[in-house]
Amino acid sequence: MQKKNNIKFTEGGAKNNPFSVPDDYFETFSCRLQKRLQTEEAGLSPRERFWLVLRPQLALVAVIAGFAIIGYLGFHTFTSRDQGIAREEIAGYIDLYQNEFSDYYFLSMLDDDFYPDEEIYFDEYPADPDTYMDFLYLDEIAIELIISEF
Amino acid sequence: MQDQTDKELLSLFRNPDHKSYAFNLIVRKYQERLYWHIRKIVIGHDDTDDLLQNTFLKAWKGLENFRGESQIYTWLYRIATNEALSFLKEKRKKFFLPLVDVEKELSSNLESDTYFNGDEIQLKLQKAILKLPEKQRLVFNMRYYDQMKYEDISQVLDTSVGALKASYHHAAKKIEDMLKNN
Repeated sequence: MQKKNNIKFTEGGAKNNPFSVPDDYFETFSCRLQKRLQTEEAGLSPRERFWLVLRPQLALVAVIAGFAIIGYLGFHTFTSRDQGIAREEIAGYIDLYQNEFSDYYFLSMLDDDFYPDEEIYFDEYPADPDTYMDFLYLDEIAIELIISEF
Repeated sequence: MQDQTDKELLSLFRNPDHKSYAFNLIVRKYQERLYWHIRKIVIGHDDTDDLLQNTFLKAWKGLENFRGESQIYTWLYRIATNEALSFLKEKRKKFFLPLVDVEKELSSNLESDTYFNGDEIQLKLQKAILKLPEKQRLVFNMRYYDQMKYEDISQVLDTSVGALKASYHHAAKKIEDMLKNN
């Protein structure tokens, strides 16, 4: 065995090919190749060739469209959520001004000194029309200025 | 048929009336050499058959633009080598195999190959060759088995003759060591 293993790889030396092929492989190879060539060349109809060229491009367009849709939906979801919050906020204000806004609150907005206790806005003071009138007749209030501001 | 030179075959191929005939002659002239070249890279007969067909299909498509600056057979060898190496690369990718596992797989294919007729020492030699780095394996096979000139191997592998000589001697030394230590 040792002797057998002692191979010297001189260039151009005799080489035994340990591989083999099925019977008539090389004799029939060119025929099989010709058949495959004919199949590859004539096997595809113009329509199939067209699709073969178009398919990867369509796939690319589909991927881009997919990303665009995902992007749009994501953007739309975020913005509509913001709008939802905004709507809730506005609804809250409407509710406040419609149901809970008191005359006192309005007066305190006109003049901070009128009711110095700013915490008490909502219907805790009796709604007395004379009080409002007295207040509005006060000389210190610059009505024109207030109107121009609001 | 064998006596026709590459130039004659090429000019015949460029004549539309004889294109298929000329290509058939080219196939018959080089099929065997290319088969053994691919076979030693991928080992299995069925894979070799597929790759040899692919090689000639590419040659059929590319021969029109072949300018004859190199010999047809070195050009065909180049296509065949690229096809075989791409096949092994795909195999590695497909099965997530590292280089060593591909070599092991090829070795085990060798043992189970019904078209391997070598004796024990030839089996050991082939296994040792499979352990070489890819480029050394190519150089060794082309020089030792196919008896190609370094100048021709240089055209196929796009490597300088000096580097090829060094590569061959490294490969031969490694194989000798592997066989001695086995």
